[in-house]
Amino acid sequence: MHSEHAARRPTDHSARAHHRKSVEKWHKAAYAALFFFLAAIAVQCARLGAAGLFVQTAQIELDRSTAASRSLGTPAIPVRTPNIVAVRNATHYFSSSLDYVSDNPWALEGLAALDLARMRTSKIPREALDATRSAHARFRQALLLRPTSPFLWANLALSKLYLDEIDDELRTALKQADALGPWEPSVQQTILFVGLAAWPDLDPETRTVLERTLARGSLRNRQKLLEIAKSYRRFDLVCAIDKYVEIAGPDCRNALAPPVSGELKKQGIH
Amino acid sequence: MITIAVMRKAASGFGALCALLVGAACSSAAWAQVGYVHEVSGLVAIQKASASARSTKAGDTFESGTRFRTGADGKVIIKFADGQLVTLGENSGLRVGQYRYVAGDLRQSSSELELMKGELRFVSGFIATAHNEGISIRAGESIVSIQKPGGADFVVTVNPDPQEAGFALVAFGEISVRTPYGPIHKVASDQYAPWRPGRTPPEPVPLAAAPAVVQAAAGELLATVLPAGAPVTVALTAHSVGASAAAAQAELAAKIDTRLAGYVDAVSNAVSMQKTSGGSVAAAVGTTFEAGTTFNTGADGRAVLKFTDGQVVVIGPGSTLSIDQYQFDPGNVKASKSVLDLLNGAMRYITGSIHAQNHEGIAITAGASIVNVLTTGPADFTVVVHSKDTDKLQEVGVARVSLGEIGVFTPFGPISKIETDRSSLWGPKKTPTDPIPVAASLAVVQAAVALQQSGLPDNTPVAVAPAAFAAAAQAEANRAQAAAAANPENARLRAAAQAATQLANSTLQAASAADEAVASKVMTTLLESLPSTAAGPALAQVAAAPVAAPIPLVVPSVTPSSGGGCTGSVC
Repeated sequence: MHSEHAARRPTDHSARAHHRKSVEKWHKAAYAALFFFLAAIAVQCARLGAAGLFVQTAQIELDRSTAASRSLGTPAIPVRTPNIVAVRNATHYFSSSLDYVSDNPWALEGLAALDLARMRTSKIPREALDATRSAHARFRQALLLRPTSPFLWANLALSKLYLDEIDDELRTALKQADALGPWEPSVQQTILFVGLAAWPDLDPETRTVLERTLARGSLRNRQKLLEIAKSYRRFDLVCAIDKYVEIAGPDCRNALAPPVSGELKKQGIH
Repeated sequence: MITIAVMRKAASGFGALCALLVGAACSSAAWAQVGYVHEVSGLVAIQKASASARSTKAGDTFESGTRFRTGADGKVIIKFADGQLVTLGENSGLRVGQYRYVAGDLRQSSSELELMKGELRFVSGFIATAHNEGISIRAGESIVSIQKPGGADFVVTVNPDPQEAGFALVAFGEISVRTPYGPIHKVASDQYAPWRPGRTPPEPVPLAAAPAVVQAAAGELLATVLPAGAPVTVALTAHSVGASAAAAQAELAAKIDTRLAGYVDAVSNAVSMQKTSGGSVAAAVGTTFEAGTTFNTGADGRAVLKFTDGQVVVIGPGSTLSIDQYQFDPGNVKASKSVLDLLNGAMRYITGSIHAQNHEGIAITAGASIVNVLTTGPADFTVVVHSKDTDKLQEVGVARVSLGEIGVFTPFGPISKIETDRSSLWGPKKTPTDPIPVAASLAVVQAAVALQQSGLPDNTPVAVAPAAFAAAAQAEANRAQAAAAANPENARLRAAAQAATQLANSTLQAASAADEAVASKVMTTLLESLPSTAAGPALAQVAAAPVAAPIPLVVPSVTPSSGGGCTGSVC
C-alpha cells in the first residue's frame, strides 16, 4: 500500500504541476485578454470623451458668442447669430470631434445647425441650397444614432422646409418630434413654425398634431407660440384656445370680427 | 428805315421761333427721358424703342418702351424721375411701359412696368407713395398691385417657362398679386407668397419660412444699397452719375490692370486654376488671373491665355503652368516683367510688348530647362516637357519654333539656337539633337503642332477687364447661337441668340476702344524713350522699333479639335 502510494506520488506531483502550469497559462491568457479588453474600452472611452469635450467646447464657444449678439430671426424662433470667428472655431471643434468618433451625433447636429446659420446669411442661392442640403444630410445621419431625439426630428423638418420639400419625410418628422418631445418649448416652436408654413400640404393627422402642440404650448409656452401663429395670421387656430385669447384678446377680436361693409366692397365681396 | 424795321421784326420773329423750337426740343427730350441707369454690374443690355440692343452703363437715360435684359451675372439699378427705384437681378428682362410724372399733380402721374422674366426689386417713389393706383406692375401673366399709399419695397420673381411660377416678397408696405392660378389678396411686410402651376396660391408665410434659395436671392436684392428715393431731374442726374461712374471705372481699371495679369480667352474641356488666395476654380472664358496663378489642364484640356502686354500662351493637354511673376505697366514697360514656369506638359508662347521693349524682363522655364528668346522681334514657339516621377534628370523635352529664334538650356546640355520652322529634342543620357526641319522630326514633335491652332487673339496689349468681359460675352453669344441652331423652330432661342450677339458686338467695341487706349499709352512711352535725332524723334524709327506687331497666327496644317465642350472664341 505504502509502496503503491510511493510509486504513485511522483506521477501525481507532475500532473499537479502540469495542471498548475496549465491553469497559470490560462490565467495569463485571461489577464492578457482582460487587459486588452480594458485597454480597448479605455481607448474608446478616451475617444468618446475627447469627442464629447470638443462638442462641449464648440457649444460653449457658440453660446458665448450668441449671448453677445442679438438674434435675427422671428422672436419665437431665435436665429443664433454668433460671430464669424466663433463659427469658425466651433466648426473646427465639431470637425475635431468627428475625427475621434466619425458618427458622433452631437457633432453632426452642431455642424448641421451651423449649416443652417450659413444658409441664413448667404446671399448666393446655390450656396444657400448646398448649405441646406448639407444640414439635412447631417440631421438624417445624426438621427440614425439618436432616433429618439425630438430636437433632431424638429430640425430635420426645418431643413426640409428650407429645401422646399414638403413631403412625407417632413410630415413624419413633425409627428416624431411631437411624439418624442411634446413638452419641449423649442420643439413646440419649431413644429408650429414649420407646420404652419407647410399647412396647405399637411394631412389631417399632422394638422391635428399642430393643434395639439398649440394646446399643450398654451400652458407653458403660449407667448412664443402666439407670436409664431400671429406671423402666419392664423388667429383661427390660436383664438380657439382660451389661454391664447387671454393674452391676444384684441388681436382675436379684430381678426375674427366680420369685416365692415366698406372693406367687403374693397375686397370685391358683395 | 421801313426795310430795317421789317428786318428787325423778322429777325426777332425768327429768334422767337428758334427759341420756341429749341425749347420744344428740350422739353420733348426732357419729357422722353423717364429715368436713368444708376448702377450696372455684369452683362446688361438696353434696347430703346427704335434701336437695337446694346450694353448699358451708368448714366444712360431711357424712355417709355425701353427694355432691359441682364445676363447670368448682370444686375442693374434704374431710377425714375419721381424717385422710384427698380433693381433688376440676373437673367431678367424688364420693359418700361408708359410713365408720366407730373410733379404738381401726382394724381395725373402713373408708372407701368413689365417683368418678362427674372427678378425685380421695386422701391416706390413719389407716385406710388401718394397715388398707389397709378402704379401697374406686370410680372409674366401676374399683376402686382400696391395696396396702400405710403410706399412699398418688394421683390417679385417670375419664371414663365414652361408654365409660370413666381413669388413675391415684401420688405415694406403691402401688395396683392393676381396670378393665373388665383389671387393673393395681401402680402404684408416680411412676408413671402409663392405661386405655382396647378394649385391655388397659398396664404403668405413669414420670410423666415421661405425656401433657402428664395431667402438668398431676395436677400441679395434687398441688401443692395440704393440711392435716395427723392425725385430727380433725369438729364442732369444721369450726366452726373455717368461722369462719376466713368471716373470710378477709370480709377478702378487703372488699379485692376496693374494687378491683373490677363484673362482666359478660350477653354476646352477641364482646365482649373489655383490662385494665390487659395482654392482651385474651373477656368472659364473671361476669367481673369493674377501673378501667382497656376493652371492645370486635364487629359484633354486646353486653354488660351492673353496677358495685358499682349503675350499669348496656349496650354496643351495634361499640363501645369505657373505664372510666377507678372507685372506690366503700359507707362513703364522697361520695368515690366513676365516669369512663366511650365512644370509639365505643353505650352505655346507668343511674345508681347514686354518682350518687344524689355527683352530681359522675360523668363521662361520648362521643367528643368530654361528657354531664352534670342530675337528681339516677335517670336512664336512651342515647348513640351515631360518629367518622369518628378525627377528632372529624367526629363524629355521638345522645342519647336514657328517664328523667331530661341535657345534652350537643358539638364543635358545647351541648344544654342533653334530657328524658325525648326525643332529640337532632349532627354536623359542623350545630347540634345541639332535642330532639324519640323517635318523630319519625331512624332512627339508633331504632337507639339497640336497647339498650332488658328484663331488665337492677336498679341497687342489689352485692357484686361473689358477684354475679359468681351470674351465672356462672345462665348455666351456662341452658346446662344449653337442652341438656336439646334432648335431652329424656337423663336425665343433665336431672339436670345440675336440679343447675345448684339451684346457681344457692343462689348467688343468697348473692349477695342479700351485696348487702343492701352496700346496708345505703350506707343507714347516708346516714343518718349527714343533718343532724339537731328530731325527729332523720327517716326521712321518708331516703325523699326520693336513694338509688338500682330503676328499672323494662322497655321494651316492643324485645325483645333472640334467639340469637346469648347467654349472659347476659337470654337
